[in-house]
Amino acid sequence: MTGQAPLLVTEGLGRSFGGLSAVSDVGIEVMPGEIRAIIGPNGAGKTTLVGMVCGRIRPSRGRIFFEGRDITRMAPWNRVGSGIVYTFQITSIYRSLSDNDNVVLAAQRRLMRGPASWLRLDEATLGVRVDQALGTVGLAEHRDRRAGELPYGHQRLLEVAMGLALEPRLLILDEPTQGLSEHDIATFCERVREIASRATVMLIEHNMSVVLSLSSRITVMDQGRIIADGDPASIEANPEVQRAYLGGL
Amino acid sequence: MSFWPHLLLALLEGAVTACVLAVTALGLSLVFGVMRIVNVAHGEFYMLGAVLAWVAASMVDSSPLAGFLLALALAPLVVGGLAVATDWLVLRRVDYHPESTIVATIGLLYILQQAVLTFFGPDARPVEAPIYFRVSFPWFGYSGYKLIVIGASIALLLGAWAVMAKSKLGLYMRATQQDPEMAQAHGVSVRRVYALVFAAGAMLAAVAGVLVVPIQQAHYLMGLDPLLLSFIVVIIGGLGSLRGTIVAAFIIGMSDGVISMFFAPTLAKILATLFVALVLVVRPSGLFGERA
Amino acid sequence: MTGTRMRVLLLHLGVLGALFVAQFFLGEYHHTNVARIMLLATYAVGYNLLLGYTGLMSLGHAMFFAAGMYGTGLGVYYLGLGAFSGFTLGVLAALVLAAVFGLFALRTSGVSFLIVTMMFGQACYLTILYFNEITLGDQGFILSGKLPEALVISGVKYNVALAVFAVCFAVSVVIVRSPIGRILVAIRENEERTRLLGYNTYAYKLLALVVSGGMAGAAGAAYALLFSYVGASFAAILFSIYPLLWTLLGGAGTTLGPLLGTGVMFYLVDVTSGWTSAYLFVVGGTLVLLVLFFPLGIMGTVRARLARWLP
Repeated sequence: MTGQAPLLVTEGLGRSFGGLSAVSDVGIEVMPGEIRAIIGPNGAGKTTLVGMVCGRIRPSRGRIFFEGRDITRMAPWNRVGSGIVYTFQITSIYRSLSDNDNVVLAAQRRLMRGPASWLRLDEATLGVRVDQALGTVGLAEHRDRRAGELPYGHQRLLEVAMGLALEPRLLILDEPTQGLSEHDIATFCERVREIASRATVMLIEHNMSVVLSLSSRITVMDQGRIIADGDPASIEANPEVQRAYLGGL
Repeated sequence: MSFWPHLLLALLEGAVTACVLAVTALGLSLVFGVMRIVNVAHGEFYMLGAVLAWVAASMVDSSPLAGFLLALALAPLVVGGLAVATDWLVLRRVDYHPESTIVATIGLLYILQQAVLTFFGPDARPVEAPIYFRVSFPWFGYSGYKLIVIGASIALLLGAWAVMAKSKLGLYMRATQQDPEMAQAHGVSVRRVYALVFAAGAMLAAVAGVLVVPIQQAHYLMGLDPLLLSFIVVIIGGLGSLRGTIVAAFIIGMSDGVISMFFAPTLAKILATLFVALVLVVRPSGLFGERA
Repeated sequence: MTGTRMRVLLLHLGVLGALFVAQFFLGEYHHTNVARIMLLATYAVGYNLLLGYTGLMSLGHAMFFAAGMYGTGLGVYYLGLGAFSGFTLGVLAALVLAAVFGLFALRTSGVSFLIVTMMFGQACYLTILYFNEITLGDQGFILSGKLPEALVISGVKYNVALAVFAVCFAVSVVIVRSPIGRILVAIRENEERTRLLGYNTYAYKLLALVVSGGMAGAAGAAYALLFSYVGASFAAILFSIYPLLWTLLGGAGTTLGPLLGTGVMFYLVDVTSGWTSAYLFVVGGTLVLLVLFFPLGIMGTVRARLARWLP
C-alpha cells in the first residue's frame, strides 16, 4: 500500500451555514481499496463532509483532490463521471419506477458517450450491467416490482445497486444499515466486502459492530473536526474517541 | 407642467398603484407562505371585489359613500365565502398538492371570469368615488380619494401585520407555516387555519378591488394585470417572505406608476418583467426569499 | 422487448395513417377543422414533452407559438420570403427564444418557474402590442396574396398540417423512448437523485424546453402559412392555457394524449360557443373536473388500466 497515490485527499476543508461551522479544517487521505468508516456523534459533520466530496454541498474553505485532480469546483454530475458515487442517507430512489428502471438510469450513464448514444443505446449491454448490479445486492427476482413498494431494507439495497451500476471508483455509503434487520445487515456487510474488491468505499455508520468488522481504517469526527484517524484497533483503544462517544463502543 | 411637478404627480400615482398592489400581493403571498400553494385565480377575487362594489353602488345609488361602505362590508364577505367554498370543495380534495392547485385555480379563474361576464356583461362600468375633494398643489389638483386609498391601504397593511405578529390567529398561522404536523400535534386545526388563510388572502384582494374601482372601472377582465403584477412582486420579494412582498410592491408599484406616466403602461409592464429576469439571474430566490 | 417496439411502431403509424386517410372522407367543414386540430396538437405535443415527461409546467408557451407565427408572418409580409424560408425563419425564432428564455428561467424551479413563464408570456404579448405599427397589434394581418396559391387548396392545407404534425409526433415518440426520455422522466420524479446519478439536469431541462418551444414554433409558423392570419391573440395567456388543458385531458406523459385532448376540446369549445358567449366556462370547468376526478386524462387512464406498454 505504501508508495501508492491516495485516491481522495481533502485539505483544510470547511463549511459554514450562517454563523455555524458544520465542518472545519478537515484533511483526510483515502487510499485506493480501503474501506474507510467515518464515525462520530450526530451533528459531527459527517454527512456535510461527504456532501462536499460528492458535490451536493459547496465548501466554504479548503480543497478536494480526486485521483490527483482538484475537483473542488467540479459540478456534482461530473464527479459521478469521474467515479465518485453517493448513496443517500434518506433513501432517494424513483419510487414509481420499477427496480429495473431505477438501475437502468444509473447504468445508462456509463454507456452514454457522445450525442449518438443519447437516442439509442445498446440495450443488450445495458441489460447485462443492470443484471449484474441487481444480482450483487440480491434483488434480481424483484426487478419488475415498483421500487416504492419494496420494504425499506430492499430500497436501501436498490440504492446500492444503482451506485454499483455507475461503476464507482469511490462509493460513499451514508448510514446504509439504518433501519435494516440483523439479517439484512449481515448480508449487506458481505456485499460491501465484495464491492470493496472493485472500488474504494467510504462509509458513514453508527453501528459500531459493522464499522469494526468492515473497515480497514476509521476516521472519527466530532463537532466538525477530526479527532482521531487510524486502524480499528487503535481507534477502539483511543480515550478521546471513547469520551466523544460516551460508551458507544 | 414642467418636469418636477410632473414627477411629483407620477410619484403620487405610483404611490396609489404601490399601495393597492401591496395589499393585493400580500394576499397572494400569505396564501403561499402558509399553505405553499399558488392561487392563479387571485386576480379574479380582486375583480369580484370591484364588481361587487359596483353592485353595492347601484343598490344604494343615492349616496356613493353608503355604497362604498356597503361594498367594504359586502365584498370581503362574499369573496371570503367563495374562497372557503373553493377550499372545501376543491383544494382539500387535492390535498393542497401544488400542481393540482395551480390547475384547479386556473379553472376557477375562467369559471369566475365567465360567470361575471354572463351576469355583469362585457362593458366596463364606472363607480363614483365615495368622497370627492381635491387637494390643491401649487401646480395641479389631485384627487383626494386617491390619497384616502393610500391611507386605507397602509392601515390595512398595518392591521395585517398586527394580526400576524400579535394575535393568536397570527401565531397559529406562523406555526402552521413552520411545521404543519407539529402545529397539528399541538392542537392547531390546520384545516381551519388553511381555510381562514385562503379566505383572508381572497378578502385582501377583494378589498383592494373595492378601493380601486372608483379610480379604474369595473370590468370582467380586470383581474389579469393585478395577478401578473402580484406575481412579479412575489417573485422579486421572494416567495414566502411577507416583508419582501411589501418592499417589492413598493418598488414595482412606484416604477410602474412613474413609467406609465412618462412613457406607456405597456412599457412599464414589459420593463417590470425584464427586471424580474435580472433579479432571477443574480438571486434566484428573490430579494428576501428562502432558498428555493 | 421487440414485441413492444413493434406494437408502439404500428400504433403510432396507424394513427398517422388514419389521419391521412380521413381527409378523403371528411366534409368541407371538418376538413379544415382537422387541419387546424393537427397544428394545435403539434403545439400540444411540444407542451406535453415539457410537462408530461420532464415535469415542468409552463404558462407562457404561447410565446413560442407566437414566435413561430410572427417570425413567419413578418418574414413573408415585410421581407417577401417564400413559404419555406418563412417557415424556417419562424421555427428558428421560436428555438432562439426558447434557448434564451430557458438559459435564465431554468435557474428557478417549481412555482417560481411557472410564474416566470407566465410573466414572460405576457411580456411577449405586450411587446407585440407595443410595436403596433409593425405587428398591427391585436387586429393582426393577413398573408393571403403573398403566398403561393397552392396553399389555399384544402387538400394541400391538410397534408402540410399532417406533415408538420407527423414530424413532431415522430420526434416526440423517439425522444420519449430513448435514453434522453428516461432521463427527462427521472428529472420529473426525483431531480436531485438524477443529478447525483451523473446527469446535468439543467442541460436536459434546457433541451426539453428548446425542443418543446421549437415544436410550438413549428405549429405557429405553419398556422400562419396555412390559415393566412397572424394575430396577437395567439400570444395571449388563454392560448398558453389551452395546451395545458389539451394535454391534461388527453393524458399528460402519453404520446397520444395531446392529439386526443386537442381534438376533443376543439369540438367541445366549438359546440359550446354556438350556445353562449361565455364558452370559456367550459375551459374552466374541464380543468377543475380533470384535477378532481380524472387526473390521468384519457390516455393516461387507458395506460394505467389496460395497456401498460403505451409510451
